[in-house]
Amino acid sequence: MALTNSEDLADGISSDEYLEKHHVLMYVEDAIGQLLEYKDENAKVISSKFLGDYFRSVHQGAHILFRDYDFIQATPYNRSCFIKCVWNCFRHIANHGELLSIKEYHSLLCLLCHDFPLDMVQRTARIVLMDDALDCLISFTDFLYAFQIQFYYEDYINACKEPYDNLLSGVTVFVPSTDNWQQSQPSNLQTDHDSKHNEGVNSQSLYDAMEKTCLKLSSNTPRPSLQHLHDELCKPPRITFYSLLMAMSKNDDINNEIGFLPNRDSVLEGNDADIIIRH
Amino acid sequence: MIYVVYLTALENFDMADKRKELLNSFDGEKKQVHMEYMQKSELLPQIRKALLKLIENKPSEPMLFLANYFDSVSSNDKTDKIANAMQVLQLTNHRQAVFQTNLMIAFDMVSVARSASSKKAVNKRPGLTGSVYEDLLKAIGTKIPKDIFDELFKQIGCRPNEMVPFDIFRYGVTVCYVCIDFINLCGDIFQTLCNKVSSDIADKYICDFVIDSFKNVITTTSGMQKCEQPAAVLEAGYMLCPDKLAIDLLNGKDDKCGKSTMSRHDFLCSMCQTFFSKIKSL
Repeated sequence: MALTNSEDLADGISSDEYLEKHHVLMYVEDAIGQLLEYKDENAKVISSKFLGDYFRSVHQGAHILFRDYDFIQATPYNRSCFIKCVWNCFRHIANHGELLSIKEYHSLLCLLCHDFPLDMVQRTARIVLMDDALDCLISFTDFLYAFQIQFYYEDYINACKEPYDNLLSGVTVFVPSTDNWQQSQPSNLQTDHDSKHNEGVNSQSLYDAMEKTCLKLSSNTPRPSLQHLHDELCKPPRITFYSLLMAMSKNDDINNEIGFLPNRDSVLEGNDADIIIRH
Repeated sequence: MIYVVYLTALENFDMADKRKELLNSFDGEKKQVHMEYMQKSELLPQIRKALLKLIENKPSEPMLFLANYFDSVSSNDKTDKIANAMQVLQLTNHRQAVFQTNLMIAFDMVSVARSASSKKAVNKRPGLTGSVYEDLLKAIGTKIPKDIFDELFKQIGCRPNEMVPFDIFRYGVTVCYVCIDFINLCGDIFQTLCNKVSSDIADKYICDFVIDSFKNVITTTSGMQKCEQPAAVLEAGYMLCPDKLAIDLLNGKDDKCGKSTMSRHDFLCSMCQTFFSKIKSL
């Protein structure tokens, strides 16, 4: 067990920043709400014991089970706990090598969260299927890791889509504060739009655009490290948005950075008894 | 300054507003019931206290901290001052500044005079006795192997009937926690030195080499004057850097053919000898 450097740094962070970083007030509010609901059915609840159990379940990652979607997507930690739950509950599907449809994956997710939106599942499928033929079947492993990227980095992906679309359509993106802005090639009117869509955009331009997007987002918004993005974008000269997301879902470094799922080749390992409790 | 911080945090967590948001989700009658419950029960003061403790200590895992805090509140045995003192001391790492505050709080807790209803000894004066001090150190040192702990206690312990002043208490408790960290680090080193077959034994020659290197570095740098201490730290770092150690190890290994091994426990004991040589005996 190595000594944690984060404890050394705690002295340098302000109380507001600390509370915001860990979303403490959100969890405390939720704890009170849960306690009041629980008290309605069990009048003799001991509040301190209930709160102790609540925070322990948050620490262990079990707190998102059977909660509504608003709560699950409220913090990055909740999202990653949910993804881990999906892995723990449904990984034996991968054992049999079954391929499922989008609707079937959606039904599975609804077992854990009754109002989980179909839209999120469809967007995940678009990553796996490269935005093509959404009625194809998908393997559990592909779905899980694409779901992780889509769900965990949702805000970041939404923010990066617009610069990508701008690059794709040939709109000049000008950022006044930097010297190094990229101007995409003026679109050739005779170019077939479909083929351009398939070819994607220049990887370097896309990297620069995504780097600038990072600066605009708040520090609490989860995003992959630029180094790992760069590793993916330096391979092909041109890339489409969904193939980038698919490459990210297969990238072990990005997976380890999020830190809640094992590597793709270990996705079947572990007993069911490990569910949720192991951190 | 600290109180300003507390007030700011409490302003952010304005119970009146939060209560309204929360209760908007419930119907009118329930709202009333919940409002009454929150006003009458100890819920809000408890949460306020918990948040203040959290801000003061800023642990790296706030949810675990809050879980432990509320568990201790719900199972609070008021007569067990050692357990209470332990809880306070464990709120934060010994390297953080707020640990000094926690030390003072813990000292006050264990220095409380025995209750008047006790039928046993009549010691009604407040103060920390050596026996209570020993019990507290034992509670802190549960993770330390027994023989190492006994050796440690010889250096920092007090006689049962002696009164223990705050400085001694602070020194002893801090040494205990530093010792725990040191043992964990030595455990990690041993893990690195272990062979692939077993994680409990390692080559004796390598272990001896590591122990001797460490001891040499400590004894060399401890002889230096206070003004030379930054240089001492740099010198220690140089002597322990990986390539230098590797060269020394390879140079020596040619002469040795033995295949004896050393267990984790023996390695820890030997490393702790060096640790104890640096502790000031009381």
